[in-house]
Amino acid sequence: MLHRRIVLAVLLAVAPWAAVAQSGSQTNLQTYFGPPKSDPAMDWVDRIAKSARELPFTGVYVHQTPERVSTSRVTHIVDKSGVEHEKIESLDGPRTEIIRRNDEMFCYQPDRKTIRVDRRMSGRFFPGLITASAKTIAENYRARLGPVERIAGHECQWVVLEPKDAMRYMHKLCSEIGTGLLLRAQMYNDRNQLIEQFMFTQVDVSGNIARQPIKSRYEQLNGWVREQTARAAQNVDAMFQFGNIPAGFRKVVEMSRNLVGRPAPVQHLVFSDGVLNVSVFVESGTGQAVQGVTVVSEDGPTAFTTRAVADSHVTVMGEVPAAAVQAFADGIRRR
Amino acid sequence: MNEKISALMDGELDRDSAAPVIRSLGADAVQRDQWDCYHLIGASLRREAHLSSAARRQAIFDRLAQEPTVLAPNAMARRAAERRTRIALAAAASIVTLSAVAVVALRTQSGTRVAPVELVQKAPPAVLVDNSKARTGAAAPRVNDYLVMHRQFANPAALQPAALVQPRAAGDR
Repeated sequence: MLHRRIVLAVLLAVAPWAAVAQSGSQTNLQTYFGPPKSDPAMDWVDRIAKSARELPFTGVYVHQTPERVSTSRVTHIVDKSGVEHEKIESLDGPRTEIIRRNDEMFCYQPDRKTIRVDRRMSGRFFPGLITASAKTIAENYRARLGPVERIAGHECQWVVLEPKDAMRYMHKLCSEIGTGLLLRAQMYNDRNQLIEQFMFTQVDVSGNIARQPIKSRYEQLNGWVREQTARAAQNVDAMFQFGNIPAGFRKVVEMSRNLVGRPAPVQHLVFSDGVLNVSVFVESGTGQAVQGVTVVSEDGPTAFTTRAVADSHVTVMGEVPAAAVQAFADGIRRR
Repeated sequence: MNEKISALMDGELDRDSAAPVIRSLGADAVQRDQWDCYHLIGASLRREAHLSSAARRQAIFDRLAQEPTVLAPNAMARRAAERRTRIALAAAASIVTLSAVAVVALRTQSGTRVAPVELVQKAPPAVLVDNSKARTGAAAPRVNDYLVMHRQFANPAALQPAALVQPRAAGDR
């Protein structure tokens, strides 16, 4: 009797581990024990997104791609009514200043005496690179914690986002321990080569930033040209079918843009997986059928492809593998 | 000749002038060295730490030498073709400066040295344009304009994509 009880106890104790050993994968481990209450790495991803939207901060960051290195100063505050104000000044190359109020952007180019007005859609703006919730990002990436490092004088937690498929790149993000602000962001291609990096070299997250209105130093100048290309979109979905959109990408916005020297406006659709953005441009022709001009290329971290669809040209580009822009382009059909 | 190589690098040659220069670069080792030298000067002026790969450059020139000129002599498409040639030239020019890996050491403002960062120099595949099919009513889309729109103003350089060759006034060099 005693002997039997011992055998039973041993069996009970071993059974769960036997099941785990048999399945051998983390997914099954979770099925057996139930999903973890929270994913600490994904919690960091949420902090990264939240801090870029809500914190006052100012600093200087470097942006590196295989082609170039540029340095900018960024200042960000949130006013009493909850509106985000951000100013980004280029510190090398042609002088530019970007003033952002929520999604509204004004880009001042003193050398050209031009103000370009646009809406934030597809551009990647550091440190606000994460644009979706951790829940959405978890559909497409696995997150894990890396080491703690010191960056720009601050302790910083590395978080690695590994893509679940070949339609996106790996990201390594380093988040300031105290506030969660993203201090360094790296993007790696499928051969584990670094293809883009943003990094603060100096940053103030103390909150002691003067909450005076953020304005461009050029705002008072007269005689500037105002360029505004974006308008509300025409109904692109009625004309085109977007099949074969890679998993995890959702359409976030669509606009109609007027291009200098183009008779018809270009439709600009933006798809995002929460970290990466893909733009689809549809340029309608003159009604006659257009035959294929196929260009596939990459400019730094940006891949692009262009193809003819019925009487229109479709161009797809984004900071994604070439296979992903190809998949987008291949799935577009004229209705 | 050196002036022409320099002009080619800057994207200042039109397609008719560029073709013989590229051909002679493909054939002449001395001129290729000159080309490398100019890129090295450019890279150091831009304070970039490129490690040039001679093997890669050779492969590119070999391929360029075999590449037929496929631009259609169509007046309507001429502007677009010109632009595409420039994209291709600029892409070719960047491939040459691109090495497999560049080690870019950044200095923080405080002066402490950050570990050198390996940043891959991803050579864009040469932009292949099949122009024989491009002679239709609609001109080819302008990828440069799209790059600017896609990147928005995310970084100042976004306003001047690598493929975009800025025309410069004479005597501006």
